[in-house]
Amino acid sequence: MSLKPDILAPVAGHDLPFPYGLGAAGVHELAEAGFGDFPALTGLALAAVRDTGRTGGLVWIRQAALAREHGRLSGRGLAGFGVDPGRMLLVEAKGRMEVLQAAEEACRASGLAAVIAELDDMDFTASRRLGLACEASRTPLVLIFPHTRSGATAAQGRWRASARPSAPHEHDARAPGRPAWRAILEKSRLQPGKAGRVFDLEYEDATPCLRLVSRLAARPAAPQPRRIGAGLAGVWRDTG
Amino acid sequence: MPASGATPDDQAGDTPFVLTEAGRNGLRVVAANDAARSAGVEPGLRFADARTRAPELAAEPVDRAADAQALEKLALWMECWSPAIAVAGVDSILIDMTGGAHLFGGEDAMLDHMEVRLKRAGLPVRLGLAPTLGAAWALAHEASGTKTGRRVDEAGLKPGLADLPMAGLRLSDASLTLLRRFGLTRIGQLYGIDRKALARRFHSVSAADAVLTRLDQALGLRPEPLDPLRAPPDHSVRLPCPEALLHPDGIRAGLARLAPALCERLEAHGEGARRFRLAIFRSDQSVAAVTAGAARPVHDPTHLLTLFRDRLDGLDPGFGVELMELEAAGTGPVTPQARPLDAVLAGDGPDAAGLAVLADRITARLGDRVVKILQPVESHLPERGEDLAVYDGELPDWQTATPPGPAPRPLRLFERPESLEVIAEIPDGPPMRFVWRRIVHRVRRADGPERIAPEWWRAGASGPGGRRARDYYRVEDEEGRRYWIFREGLYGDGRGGPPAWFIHGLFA
Repeated sequence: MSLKPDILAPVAGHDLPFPYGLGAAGVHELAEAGFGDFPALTGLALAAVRDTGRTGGLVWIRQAALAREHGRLSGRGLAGFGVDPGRMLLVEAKGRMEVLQAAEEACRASGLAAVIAELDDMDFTASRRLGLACEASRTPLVLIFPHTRSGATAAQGRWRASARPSAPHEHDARAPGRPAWRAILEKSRLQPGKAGRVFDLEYEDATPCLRLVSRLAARPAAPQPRRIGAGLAGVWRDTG
Repeated sequence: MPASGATPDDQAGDTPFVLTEAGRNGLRVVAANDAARSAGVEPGLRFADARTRAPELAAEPVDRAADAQALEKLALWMECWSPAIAVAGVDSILIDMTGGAHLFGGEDAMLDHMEVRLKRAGLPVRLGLAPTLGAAWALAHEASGTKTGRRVDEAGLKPGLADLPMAGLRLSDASLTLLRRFGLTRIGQLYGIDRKALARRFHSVSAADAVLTRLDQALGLRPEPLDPLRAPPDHSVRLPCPEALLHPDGIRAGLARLAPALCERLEAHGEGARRFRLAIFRSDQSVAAVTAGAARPVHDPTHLLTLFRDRLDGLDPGFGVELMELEAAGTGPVTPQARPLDAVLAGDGPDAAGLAVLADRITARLGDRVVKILQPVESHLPERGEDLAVYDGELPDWQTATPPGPAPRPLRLFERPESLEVIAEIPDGPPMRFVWRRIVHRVRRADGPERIAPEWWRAGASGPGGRRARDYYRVEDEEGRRYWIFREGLYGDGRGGPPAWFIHGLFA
């Protein structure tokens, strides 16, 4: 594993392709802003994980109750989103405890691109435990929560995200444009001072690579994402 | 080689006791204990007649299902003598002991051992050991009280069976009656008989054939394979416990000794196994077992112990464990652990072996069939276009799968489309607003339609509404959430009433 390029170092958020290290090594939380934003979070988590450029398998753990509510992952949808479903393992957990157990096992394993888990809630102890599991393997773990998620956490940060009306399609003004999100950095361990900031994010699907761009020119205060290869050439807007 | 033992009744005590079954002509005795037999009560007798012969006769209705279950349970426990074991009839267990008797100190010592163990458990037993199944059956069922012992060898087969009653050949009642009419009551009387002449005496060729087949099988002239209760494992190792294990920790320690032994044997054969079974034979003639599976063939003892880690809690040592057995099945070549260096450097593709190990660890904690993969299927229908399959060590190949087409597919898909209430601007256009899960969504932008025709070559209708074409739209509501909805059918397409709307997926 040591031969693989370690693209991300969990340092200050400015150098990361995604704001404040979402998708980089460590535990990150994504929570719905309101009921119905779960698919938006699915896309955001995948985009973040994809943009870290890590290779290897992807483990997606889902809780049965949430899967019934929001549907299951679609392989062709993933392929369209730039994620190869052929390297993904899906774990079907019954309850919250099973999700946490599976996530812990997956985080201990080396050589994974990322672990993504959907669960309804967890306590501080569980988040600390997952953080320790991630430490040795440096596997990114993204947890997706419904809007009811609150309370203390030992994760790197918690984002509260929702879907945002898209810009018009380039070729057809009546069609939906690229997926867009509004993400609020609710908690951050790396940059506690930045908590509460609002980010408007947009997905670029013209190239096979995902990128997060802004429709508007970046403000001077906005941190710049780092480029990965030729694909990632985006800026994002910091409105907070 | 095979030995068979008769089991059932509660024969303890001096009171005559019988099991009865309701027949067409009232209650009949189906089994009787020794006390009842000495009073002249035989199976087949009417219960009223039996009562007159033994006035203090106690009786219970027979429960054949429970009997069969108990017999099978006993047979499974008797696997501690041999893995090839079968249940025959209502009261017999067949064991293939080929090449195994020396492990128990020879054939006689083994029979003594079996008899002692079963009698101690309160099971009256008759044993027979012979080179053929048929002969062993005859010895066990008919040899008691005759001068033939319970055991015959290859040379003694023909003379040993000669004096036994004809019933030892496992013949039907009609055939036995017919043979008795000819004056043929001992098996030996059939040895020198003219087979064609015998066949002519029977009313049908098959009835005569059955008699001669059974005779040939008993004498080893025709093969009779044993159909075992369980398929014999590919490899197995055993750990006898001289002192019965009473604590679950003992089982854990025993497994820790069995696992390296089994893995050593697998490695010596150059293979690994995907299914493992740990069985404990308890001193009260019962067996408990747990199974564990691996995604790919493995022969690593530590990995094997991980597979069983959370499952041993289900094993209750009961009154003590006398024997532990670890079996391996589903063997196959073990893929080498090392990956080619260029693949590592290029970083293409996941580490399949590493994923398989991880899947096993998760399976060991959460239970079987929880780790899945998305398998592409050649179908246009979204709900049939991919299959959620159990991960078996092979990752699916999506590179060569048919591309989803120009229109985007949603990230999340509902297993079954959910019904919508829709207001559309024009009958065949995209919706203006729709109600899903009692919430009104105003459509801001819409894209479509993408028409997906039903698969007419498949038998039977599928999905809601069956054979109507679907027009899929990608719509975005005022909050920016994107949905994949479809209208099933068109106005006036002649395939049912007005079209219906459904939601099938959610976009990011």
